Amino acid sequence: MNQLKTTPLNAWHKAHGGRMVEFLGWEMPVQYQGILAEHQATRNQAGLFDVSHMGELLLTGPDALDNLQRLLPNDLAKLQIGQVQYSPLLKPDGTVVDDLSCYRLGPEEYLLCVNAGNKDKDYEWIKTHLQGNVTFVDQSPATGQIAIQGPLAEKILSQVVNTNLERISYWWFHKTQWQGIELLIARMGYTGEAGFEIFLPWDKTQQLWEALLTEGAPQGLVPCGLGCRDTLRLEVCFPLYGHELNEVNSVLGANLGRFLKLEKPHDFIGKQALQAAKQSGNYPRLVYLVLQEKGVPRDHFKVFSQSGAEVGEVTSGSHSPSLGQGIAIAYVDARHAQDELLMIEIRNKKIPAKRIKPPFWQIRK
Amino acid sequence: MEIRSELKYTKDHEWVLIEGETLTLGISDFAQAQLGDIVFVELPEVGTVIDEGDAVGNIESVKAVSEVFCPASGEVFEVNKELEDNPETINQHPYDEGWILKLKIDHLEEDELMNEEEYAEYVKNAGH
Repeated sequence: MNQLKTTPLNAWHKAHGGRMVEFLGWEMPVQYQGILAEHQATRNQAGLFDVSHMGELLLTGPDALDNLQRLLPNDLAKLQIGQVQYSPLLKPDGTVVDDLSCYRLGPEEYLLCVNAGNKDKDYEWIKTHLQGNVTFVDQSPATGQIAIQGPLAEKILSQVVNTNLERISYWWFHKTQWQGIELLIARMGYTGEAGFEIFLPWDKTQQLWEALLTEGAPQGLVPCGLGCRDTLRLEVCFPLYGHELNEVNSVLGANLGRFLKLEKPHDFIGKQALQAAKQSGNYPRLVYLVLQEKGVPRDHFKVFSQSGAEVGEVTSGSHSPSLGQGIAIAYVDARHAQDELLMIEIRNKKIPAKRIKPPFWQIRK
Repeated sequence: MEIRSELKYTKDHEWVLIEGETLTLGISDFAQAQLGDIVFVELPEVGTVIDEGDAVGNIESVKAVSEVFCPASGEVFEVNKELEDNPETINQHPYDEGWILKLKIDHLEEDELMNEEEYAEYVKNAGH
C-alpha cells in the first residue's frame, strides 16, 4: 500500500483518540468519541474539523479572471476582493471534474479550494486549459485548514483571534494576524451550521487548533472526525464529490442550477453539453429521500419506482442523527424524479422512501 | 475493552453464553466499539430455525452495517425486543442488556469457540 498522506494534525489526532482511516489517500480521523456525539455537539454547541487535506490552488495574473470564466460555469464577473464563490468544474460533456470554492484575494489573484482526492487531477486539468498571462501554483503542501462550525463557533473563534467577526458576511472572508500568523477567515462551512473555515500556514495549524480547543472546550467545542462531517452535510443536502458529483452524471441533475450560468457570454467548458441536455431533459436527477421504516440506506443501494421498476441508485445514504431516520440522496431517471414515493432496496427488501424538498434538516433560527 | 471469562467468543466477534441447552448470543465489547454508534438492529423472528454459521441479524451503525452470525444450530426462542427502540444499548452494555437472541441448541461445535484468553489474543492481532 502507498504511504498515506498526513495533515499537520496527524499526531494530535492519534494522541487524542482519533480513529484513523484511509480517506482518498489521506490518513484522517473518522471519529473521536463517536459520530453521534460529535454530530450533536456541532448542531448544539460547536465542532472543530481538521480539513488540511483540502487542496489550495492559486491562480494569478492579468488573464486570471478570463481563464476562470472559461473554466467555470458560475459567473465570477461580480466576485469582489474578499468574497468567495462556489462552482463546479466541468468536463466538455457536462459531467464534473470537481467542485470548488473560489476566493478572490486581490485584483488578479484567486485561490481555488478543491477536494483532497481531486487536487492533482484538478491541477493538471486547469493547467492544461490555461491561456494567456497567468501563473498557477499548487499551495496545498504549505496550507493548513481548520473549520469551526456550530452555534457557538463565532463566539469561540472571536475570543481566540480577538477580531470582530461580525463584519465578515456569509461567503466572505477577512485576513487577520494572530500571534504573528496570517489567518484567512471565511464565514462558510459544510455542516449547515453557522461557522468559519480558516486557512493558515501548514506548520501553524496545530497552534491554532489547540488554542481554539483550550478556549472552546469548556463551552462545548469538540474535535470532530470525517464521520460526522458526512452526516452533517448530508442532512443539509450539500453534495459530495464522488457521490452526487462525478464524471458520469450531468451536473444539470445535481440540483446546482443556481451555480450554472448558461446565460453568461463566455463559452465555458461544458456549456454546449449543458444546453443540449437541457433541451432534451433526459438526464438523471437527484432526489432526497426519507426512509419510511427502520433501516439505513447506503451508497449504491438500488432505487425502484412504486411499480417495481429499477429507476436509480443511492449516492449518499445514512442514518440521520437529527431526524432519527434513514435518509438518502439518489439519482433517479428523469420521469421518476417527481414521484412522491420511491422504494430503496435494503438487503433484498424494498423499503418505501418519501421524497422531500431539500434540506432534510434546517438550522434553528 | 472488556472480555468476560464466563463467555465464549467467535471469530466474527460474537459472544455466547451456554447454559445447558440454551445459548445467548451478543456481540463483544470490541465489536461494538469497532462499529461505533449503533442505530438499528434487525432481529430474527422467534421460532426461526437456523444452521451453524447462519447470519441471524444485522447491526447498523452510522457508518456501517454488520451481520450477526450464530455458531450453533437450533431454534430461536427469544429475541431482545428492547433493541428495536434502544439499539444503543449494545454500545452501552454489550454483555448484559445488549444481548441479541436466545437459542435452543440443536448442535454446537464448542471447540471452535475461543475462551477469554484466546479471544484477547485474537483481538490483539485483529487490531491492525
